[in-house]
Amino acid sequence: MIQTKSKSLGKFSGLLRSRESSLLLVMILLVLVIQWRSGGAFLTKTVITQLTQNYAYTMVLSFGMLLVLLIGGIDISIGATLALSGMSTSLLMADGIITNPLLAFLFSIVVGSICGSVIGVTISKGKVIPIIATLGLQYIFRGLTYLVSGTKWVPSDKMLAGYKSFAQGSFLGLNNLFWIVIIMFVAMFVFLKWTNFGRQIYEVGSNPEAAKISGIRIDRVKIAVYTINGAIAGLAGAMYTSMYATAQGNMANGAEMDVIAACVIGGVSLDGGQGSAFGVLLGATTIAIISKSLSLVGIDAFWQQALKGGIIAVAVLINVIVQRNAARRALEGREI
Amino acid sequence: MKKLIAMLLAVLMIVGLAACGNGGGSSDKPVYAIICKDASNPYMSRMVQGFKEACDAIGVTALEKSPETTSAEDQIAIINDLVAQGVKGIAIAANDAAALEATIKAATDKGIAVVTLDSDTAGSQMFVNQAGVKEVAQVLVDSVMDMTGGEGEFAVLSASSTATNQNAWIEAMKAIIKDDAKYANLKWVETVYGDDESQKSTDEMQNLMTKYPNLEVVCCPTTVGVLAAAQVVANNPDCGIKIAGLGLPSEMKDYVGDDKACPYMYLWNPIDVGNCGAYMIKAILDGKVGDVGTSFTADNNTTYEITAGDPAEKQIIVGPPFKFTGENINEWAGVY
Repeated sequence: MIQTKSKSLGKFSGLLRSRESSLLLVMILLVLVIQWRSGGAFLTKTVITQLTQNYAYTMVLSFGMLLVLLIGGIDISIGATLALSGMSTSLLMADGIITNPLLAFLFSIVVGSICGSVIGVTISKGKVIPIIATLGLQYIFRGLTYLVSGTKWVPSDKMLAGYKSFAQGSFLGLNNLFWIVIIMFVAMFVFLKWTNFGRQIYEVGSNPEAAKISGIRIDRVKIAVYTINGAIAGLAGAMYTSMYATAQGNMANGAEMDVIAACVIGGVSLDGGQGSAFGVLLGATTIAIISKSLSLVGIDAFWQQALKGGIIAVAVLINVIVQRNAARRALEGREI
Repeated sequence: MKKLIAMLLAVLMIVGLAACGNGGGSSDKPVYAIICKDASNPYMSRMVQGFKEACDAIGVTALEKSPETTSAEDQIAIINDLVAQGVKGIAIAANDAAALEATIKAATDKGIAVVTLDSDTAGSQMFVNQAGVKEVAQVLVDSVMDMTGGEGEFAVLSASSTATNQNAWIEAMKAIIKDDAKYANLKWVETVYGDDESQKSTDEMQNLMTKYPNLEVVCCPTTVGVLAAAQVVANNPDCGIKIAGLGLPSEMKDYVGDDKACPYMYLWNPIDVGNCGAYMIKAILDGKVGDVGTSFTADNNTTYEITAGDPAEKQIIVGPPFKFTGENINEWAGVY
């Protein structure tokens, strides 16, 4: 059937069948419905700007989670890592020890990396399964956040002016925080596609046995991936505290769930070895659109959670069906 | 720093001991004791200040005894000590809602008046409640009335849709607006829920601004919400929206003032709470406190209505919340 169609149409339908394009369609459909239901309030410069700024840290976290899911792991401690790194950075700013915004971001990344490497070592050397290891460490990191802060908040007047204004500023019409997302996306795209280490990550996730035999040191890959993920959570901690100009012990509680959902919507397999930076970007954007628009559309607060879950489930379902069809057709194509 | 705290604590203990000696030795002045949650809490120390002022006015000796950490066990030991010393009354900010019951019962059996401040516990004769639902709702409605100039659109940004205290305040606000014709020109456009989370609260605040271009005031009876809302307004100085609500002075320092996002806000004042606690001990000892449903006038010339407490036997409400303005915010920001 396909062969009877013209070549360009064949290319087009091939594009349609790729996972990312199906998600793109779902996203466009979602945006159209929201635009209609909100009376045209959604697709405006203001709302889009707010969305890219308010959800930048969730998007950045999604790229870290992508790596973890690719090696067949999971990290549910990123919300706590974000809180610990954001809080310790803010506390050092409040005490006048960190006096440079850039240094604050770097310090937060370092704290996050340490958290991430602890997770990585626990999982690879300690042979603890990822969900349990990160469940435990999540409580430890969250507890440490309360301990270092004495359960108090760091208020905005204790933060550096440059730190706070960074999150509100923009460059070439795009918010600074969203630039971090863009840079992170490009870096992740290049890293996964064109570097040796990026390919090793896929190998470890899709076939650990083969990866081991081919000489990949799986433990080192795992530690590296969790450390990178921690570093990204640390970066998100700085983004969060600069954006909201406050550091609270319970900040980003439960953020990991939105992030995992973003990855799954984006076509990342929880079994490892499958997923792309572009898919995750789309998935994270979809989550951001859903979260931002539910109240804009005027849905009752009691229904928002359920509806959000429903949309995620449907998006994943459509995604899986399209993917399955694509895989089947690819096989058919091979037979011919 | 630790050494300094240790030294201060030691000095405090010596002073405390000296005070005990006084209380036990000279029987001419009765002793009222106050037990805080822990010794290092600045909010609590303001409560002690109010308690001491009231004791001076009443003509009794005030004695502060607080555990180093927020432990109920330490509070039990302190109560036992105080009973042995023969104090007349104890005001306590309980560290546990149940664990202190037997100890307090033993004290009240000896004729000692025991009231709870800030945090209630079973066995207490009276809970001195800082947050009367009606009083809080009244100041919130009046803030909206004042900030809109008597007429216009306003919205409420709450915590979660299931938070008991938030919903009680919101219901009470509705009742107040309905019952009085002077509020007839206020238009309550929507109640939204930010789940006490910075990202969600920011979203909800921004969406309110998108949905209601004529919005004049957003009232936030939650400390996280009021901060997020005030930050959004501060970052959009041209929007002309004012923020009213309940906020922590230390967190809101940057945003409270006549020309700022939040002209003024409210929260309970620890000095008033401590002050009222001492007068309640006096009232109980004088036999002024009757059954639930009755009222009495304490020695501070204020009439209090007795309602059923939970878990304390009875409860009274301190009074309207305290107003934080541009003038006093800096002073209070250092307190809590």
